[in-house]
Amino acid sequence: MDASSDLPAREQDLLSRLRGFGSVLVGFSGGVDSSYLAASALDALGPDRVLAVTGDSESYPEVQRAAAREVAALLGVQHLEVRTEELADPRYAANPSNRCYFCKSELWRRLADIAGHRGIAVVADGSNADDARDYRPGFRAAAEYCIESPLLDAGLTKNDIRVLSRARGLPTWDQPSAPCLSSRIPHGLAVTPARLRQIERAEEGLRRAGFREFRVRHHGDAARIEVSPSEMELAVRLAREIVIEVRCAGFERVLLDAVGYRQGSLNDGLVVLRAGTR
Amino acid sequence: MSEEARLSVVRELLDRRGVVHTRVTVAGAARDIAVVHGARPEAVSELIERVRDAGFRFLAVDLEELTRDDA
Repeated sequence: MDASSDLPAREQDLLSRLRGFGSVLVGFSGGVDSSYLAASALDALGPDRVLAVTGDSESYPEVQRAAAREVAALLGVQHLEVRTEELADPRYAANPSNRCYFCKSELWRRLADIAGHRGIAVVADGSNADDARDYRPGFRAAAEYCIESPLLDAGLTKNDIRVLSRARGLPTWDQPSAPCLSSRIPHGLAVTPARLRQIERAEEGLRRAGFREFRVRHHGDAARIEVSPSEMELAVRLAREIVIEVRCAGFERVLLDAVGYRQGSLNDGLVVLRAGTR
Repeated sequence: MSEEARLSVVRELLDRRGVVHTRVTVAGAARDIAVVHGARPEAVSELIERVRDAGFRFLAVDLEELTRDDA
């Protein structure tokens, strides 16, 4: 059987789960998964029983913030932005391998409060079936705050969600994954507002230069740039422009990763820096 | 293995494959990036597993040096 042949059934399963919630607050980043979830929730429950909430902090890039507002307006979903303070938590700022747990704890705590005050029955996130196979310390926080993951529970993978988003005409269907800026800093190297600004500025430069799928990894004085293999040639051609942009962001050394962009490269081997390298 | 010994392994790999380069250095707060200077990424990318065996997590080329090549 073709892997996508039961996709309509899984989408129906999702809609049925959402109807069962009665009302839902969607943790909304404006990315592929949460946009599709919000659109599906609107279908299942109607606009009065769906609230999309975006957590906003220094680790959330401006380009993503703007995209979230745009997608929310396009969908016609009620949308709130709440400030989260994960950087004020020294356990998060120290950047351990379970950093995401502290961030998600802060986010879900805030969102659960909002849902409680507004009488919204369920808080849901956009985790999908692929995420269950990945290293995700944030799942523990989601479990502690009773966050539902209907996409995951309906067995929808990232690719399924892209296919279904495209069928719905959502502009996010082919959007690259966009995790928070802290994910560019190796575990053990502290997450600071200054480092996050450096990353955001350097990535903005690469985006302006025409790159689509890339990351600027922060290694202290060095930026290690990962671009997708299909854009490697472009990176070599635009080396001078990239060096200028990335140096202006405050990095002394500008390196191009020879292997290229891959999701979660900083989790490879999960080596934590020795004391004294922060 | 000392940093210098790890670098020697990488240099040897490059020499054995006939990769033209000017030097190899270490970068990163954790000293875990092997940086090949004067080479293009496609000339070294296949060496990643061997470079990891030598104790580095990442393999990169120096972009600034590529701009000099273009000049």
